Amino acid sequence: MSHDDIILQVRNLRKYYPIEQGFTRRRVGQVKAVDDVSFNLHRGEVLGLVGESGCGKTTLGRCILRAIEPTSGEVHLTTRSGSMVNLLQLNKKDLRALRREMNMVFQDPFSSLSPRMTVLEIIGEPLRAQGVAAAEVESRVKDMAERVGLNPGHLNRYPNAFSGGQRQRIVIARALATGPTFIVADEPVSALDVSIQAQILNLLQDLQEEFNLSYVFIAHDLSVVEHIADRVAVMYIGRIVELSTTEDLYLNPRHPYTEALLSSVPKPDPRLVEDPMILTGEIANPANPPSGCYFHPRCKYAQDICRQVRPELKEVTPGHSSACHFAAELELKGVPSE
Amino acid sequence: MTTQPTPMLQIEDLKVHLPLEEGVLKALDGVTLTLNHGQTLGLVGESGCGKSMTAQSIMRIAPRFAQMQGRINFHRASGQTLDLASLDPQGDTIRSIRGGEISMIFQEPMTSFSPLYTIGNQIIEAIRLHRTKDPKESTAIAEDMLARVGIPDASATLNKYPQQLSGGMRQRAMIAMALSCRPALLIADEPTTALDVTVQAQVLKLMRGVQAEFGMSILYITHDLGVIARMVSEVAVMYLGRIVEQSTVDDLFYAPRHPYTQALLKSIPRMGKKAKHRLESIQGSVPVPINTPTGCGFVSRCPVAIHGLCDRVNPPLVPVDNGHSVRCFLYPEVVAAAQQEGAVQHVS
Amino acid sequence: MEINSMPQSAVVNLKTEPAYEILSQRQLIWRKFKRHRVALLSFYALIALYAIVLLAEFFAPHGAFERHSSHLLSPPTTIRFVDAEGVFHLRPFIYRMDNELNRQTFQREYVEDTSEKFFLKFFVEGEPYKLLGFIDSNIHLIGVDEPGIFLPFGTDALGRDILSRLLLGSRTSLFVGLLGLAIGFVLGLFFGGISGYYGGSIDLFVQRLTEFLQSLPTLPLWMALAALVPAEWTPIQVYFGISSVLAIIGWTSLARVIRGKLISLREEDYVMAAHLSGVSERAIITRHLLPGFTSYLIVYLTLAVPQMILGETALSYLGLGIRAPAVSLGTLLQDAQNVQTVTLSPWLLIPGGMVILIVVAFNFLGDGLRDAADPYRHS
Repeated sequence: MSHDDIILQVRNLRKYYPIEQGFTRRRVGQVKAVDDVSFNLHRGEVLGLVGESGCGKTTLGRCILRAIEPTSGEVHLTTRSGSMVNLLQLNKKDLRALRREMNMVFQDPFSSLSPRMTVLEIIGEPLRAQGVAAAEVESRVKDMAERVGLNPGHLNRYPNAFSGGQRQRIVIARALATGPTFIVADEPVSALDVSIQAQILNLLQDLQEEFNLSYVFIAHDLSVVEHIADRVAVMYIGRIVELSTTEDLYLNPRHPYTEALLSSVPKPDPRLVEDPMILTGEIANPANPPSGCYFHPRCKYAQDICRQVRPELKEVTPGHSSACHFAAELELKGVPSE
Repeated sequence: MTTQPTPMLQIEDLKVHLPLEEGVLKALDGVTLTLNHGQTLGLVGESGCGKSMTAQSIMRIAPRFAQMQGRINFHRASGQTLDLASLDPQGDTIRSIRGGEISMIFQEPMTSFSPLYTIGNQIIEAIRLHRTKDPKESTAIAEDMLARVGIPDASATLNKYPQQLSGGMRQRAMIAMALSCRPALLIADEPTTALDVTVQAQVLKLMRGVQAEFGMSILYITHDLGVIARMVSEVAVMYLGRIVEQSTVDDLFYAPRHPYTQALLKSIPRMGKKAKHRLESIQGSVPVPINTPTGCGFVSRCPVAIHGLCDRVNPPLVPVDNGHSVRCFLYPEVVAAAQQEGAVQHVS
Repeated sequence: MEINSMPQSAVVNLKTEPAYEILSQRQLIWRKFKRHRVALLSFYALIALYAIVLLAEFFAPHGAFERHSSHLLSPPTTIRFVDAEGVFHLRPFIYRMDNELNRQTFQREYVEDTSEKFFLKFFVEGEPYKLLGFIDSNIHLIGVDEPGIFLPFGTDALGRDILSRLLLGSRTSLFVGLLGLAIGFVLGLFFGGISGYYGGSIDLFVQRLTEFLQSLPTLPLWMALAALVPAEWTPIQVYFGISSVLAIIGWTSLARVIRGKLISLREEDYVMAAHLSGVSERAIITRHLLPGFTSYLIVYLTLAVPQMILGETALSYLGLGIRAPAVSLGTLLQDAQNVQTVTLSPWLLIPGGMVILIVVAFNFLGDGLRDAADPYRHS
């Protein structure tokens, strides 16, 4: 992938939430939900964003689309006209116009669909917002509904008539209605049953090929991410600790946290006599993170330097970055490919 | 466990129907299940398949308006056999069993601990109800249990409120409470689903440890096939209120018989497999079990359904191999059994 | 069982969705509401009540201000089917009541004059009135021929028929409730809306204001405000005045409900989805936020009506609300203020029963609506 093919450039993105106390709302501290995150997304690429709850992956996804306002940083999107625009500097009007080129797929197919609108109205909403004429809205909604596998005859129904998997198809159709190039998919399959997950994952892959979409794919399920992502970023307490191509990350993790994550996932194979690497403790409180490397209290490889100096995200091998002082030295165990 | 397995819990043709406005919801539609002493039996299925309702029926905590039929024979340590399904859900007998001989761990411990009392209070109360009235002894047992489930500084934790603990610690405390009365049967309903993967690994390891230590039987309910593979020796697969397949865990993963199990195993993404291939998904979605017609529940999604048979007759659950039962007409044993029962007279 | 005896439609049935799945939210609410029988009954009862009081003059046997000077504090007339001779009549009739002095107790008592029967009739002519304010008529639904006099709920100290006054008074009270609610609704929607939507210092200010108003003791505040209503106002002006007084107190809790609902709806995923789809703020408010809480508003308003009616009744009872000659449930109950009249003429308490009936009906209706308002809770 060439360098000019970058569709999204995130630079030093930060989202800090103040912690206020008392009647006067005195500021007593802050939670660094997203702390100095930078990465590139290429056209047609799927970047997986994994981490445990509270690591800031959802906040990051929302900041990129300016669903919430980041504290600082830059988010450059390559528009269809070819120019790069810093989303964080756009005024409301320009941002609204640019929303046709990016959208979001939500986790919960129940709360993300208004129960008071028909499917036609829901999928058509982004089109109407962009000023598409009413007659054209209906035909484009029908077209989109068919592409995501919904019966176009059911468009006048309300969402409560649909199962979870079908609802997620509606959510996807809404996100793609205006023909965006970039999608943030926030845990799009984790609320679904196992047998439905595969349908939706296949659908997301098909649509990606068909429309040459680029995804930031947020998930906590490492097997789902391995399945769909080209590259993976692992987050821990607001920061990316490892970023690499999917194969390399799963085969040769370069951060002890990634190693532990991969080892913790129960594999659906009873013959696999595995002794998962058990991490001690739980994720630190992001309002009061540990000194040095945030992961050091749970890390079995931790040295003195880890308690004092916070490691920066650095390239260890080409295309593989890690935020660990010993990324180059440690022999970490990944998941052997079959 | 080389001795002949003896059954501890035998569920026979259990039906739980919920009369709703839209019709009768058949939450359980003839569940037959046997759990042996010292065994860990996994109950796996998707949401709405009835796996939680099975657990609630054993504990007799199903909704009051639910209509229950069938037997749940529980073989007590005293040698007595009790049909739990025939008990009064508010009666003394079931209350002495609940939390004593049979205890349960829930997905979200916050809903089963009261936020108004300390952890210690709640565990000690359970102990005094079922084990010993002596306050000193019960406190000692509670502290010992908390230490055994890996909670650091157990005596300080006794005086903490549930909301002061992290999710993983709360689930450990929940396990400590469930084990404090030395249950013969532990029902774990998605105990790690709400936890992060690294914490889940801790709790799973703990559960294996306590099972080895205490030797009780465990009914392990989950939707996660990875957890099943790691945790249990025997698996029952549920679909639409019925058990469709039961076998050893190895058999289930390496020689699945029911088309639903086969499709389910193919549809999950696995780590280490070459990425970017298409998953084999199951078409359609789980039907709502309201006013379901006779016939196999999976027929609307089944790629190999036999027209005129599967959509008309519900196949019985029949052993097709050593310790491997399946509810599917693809297997001649099942057809033969159905013929014997008179459900099927001729098959063309 | 023979295979062929199985229903052919078995597989088809699996795929046909229940009809409720294609209903809109409003239809779902109505279906659910209909299942709450008491609420449905209250709903119809209230509709009937509003219809009757609107046409009060027609349903009343007499004029509300018509004095029957020979029948002061008369007890209710008994409707009979069996006459003094023990003969059964299919048609109900009454005897005329006459005021006589009891020679033993020296008290005035009403005694039935059994010499003549007066059969009840439909559509009798009586006191003239203007129906709905513009249709001239003198037809009353039920009555008897002269000189019989039909007083189903008795009369007050001035000889006025209680039933007729009750119907007219209920009209005042029922509509004061609605009017007060309408004013309170506008205030609550406005203050709750800006508080929840803008947040920040506006929110802070509105919240402190509502807390202040809610912390004031209600009755003294009402009394103070009602005292501001000038004595020379016409009954209609007083009527508006009292409604406004009730509304000024009543909007605060509504504003809180609206604010809370707005804040929670703003956090909903589907509102964020609309935002991310480039939908304008105005469209988000009108298409997502407002429809999101109309059902809650209806419930809230239904439950607030009896509060308003009770408020009016209390104020008028204390002599601070609706004043004579206007009639309301409160002014009617004023007559029942002293123990002596209550023991001697208990029928003066009948308007109190009416208040209870109205309040209970509104509460049941509100209950039913609340249960129905969220049709997705179980699905």
